[in-house]
Amino acid sequence: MSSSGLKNALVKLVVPAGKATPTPPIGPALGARGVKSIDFCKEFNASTASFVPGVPIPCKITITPKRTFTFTIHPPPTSWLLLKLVGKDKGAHAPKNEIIGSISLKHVYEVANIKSKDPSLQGIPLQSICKSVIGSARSMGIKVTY
Amino acid sequence: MSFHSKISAQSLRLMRSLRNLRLGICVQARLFSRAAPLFRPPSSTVAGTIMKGLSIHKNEPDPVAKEDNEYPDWLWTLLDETKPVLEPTEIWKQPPSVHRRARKQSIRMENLRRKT
Repeated sequence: MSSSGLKNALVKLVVPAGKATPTPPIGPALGARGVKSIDFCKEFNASTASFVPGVPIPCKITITPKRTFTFTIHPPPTSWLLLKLVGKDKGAHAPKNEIIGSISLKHVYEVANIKSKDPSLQGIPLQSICKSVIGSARSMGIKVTY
Repeated sequence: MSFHSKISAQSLRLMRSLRNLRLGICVQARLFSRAAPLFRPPSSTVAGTIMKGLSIHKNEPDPVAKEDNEYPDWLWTLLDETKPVLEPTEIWKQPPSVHRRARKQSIRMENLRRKT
C-alpha cells in the first residue's frame, strides 16, 4: 500500500461514543494509512460528546494522500437500537422460528427517526426507512406488531 | 385427460403435485381474505409509554409514545401483506418466481411421499 497514492482512502469503523482510543480497532486501521490515531480520537470524542458514552457510532474516515483526514458520523446500527429496545444482548439464532421480543410500529417510527439523521440517508422518505427497520427486526427475531 | 396420453408418467406426477399445490394456495387465499386486512387494531403501545433505551444523546429523555392519530397514516399500513392475494387461476399466469419455492417444496414432498 503506497502512501503517495492519488486516491482518498475510506476507512469505516464503529467506535463507542466518547471512548475512542484503543490500539486494536483504531490504531492499526488509521496508522497503516499514515494518520495519527490520537488526533482522530480527540476529534471524534469531541464531536460525540453529546452522545451517551459507549453508544456505538459508525464513522467513515476519508484519508487524503496528504495524510489529512475528515470523517462523518452516523447514527448507531439499527440492530443495536432494536436490541436495546427489547432489552437483549444478541439476536435470535433462528430468526423465523425464534422470537426474542416484540416491538410496535410506534417503536419502529422512533428508531426510523433516529436513523433518518444519517447523512447517507438524506432524501429517503421516512416510510422507506421504517420498512428497512421492520426488515432488520424480522431478521433478528423481533416481532413487529401494531 | 385422454388426449394427453403422450405425457410421461413423471410429468403426470408433476401435474398432480402442482394441482395439490394449487388447492393448497386456494385454501390460503380463502384464509387471507377472511383475515380482513383492512382492519387495524389499536396500537399495543399506549400513548405515554416511554421507549426505554432509545435516547442516544445525553440529557435527552427517552422518546414517549404519542396518540395513534398523531402518527402518519402510512405507518399503520406497513404491516399489511405486501404481495397481493392471487386467485388460483391467476397464480399460474405469474412468472415462475412467484410460486417457485412453493412449487419446489411441493415436488419434494411428493417425491418423498412416493419413496416411502
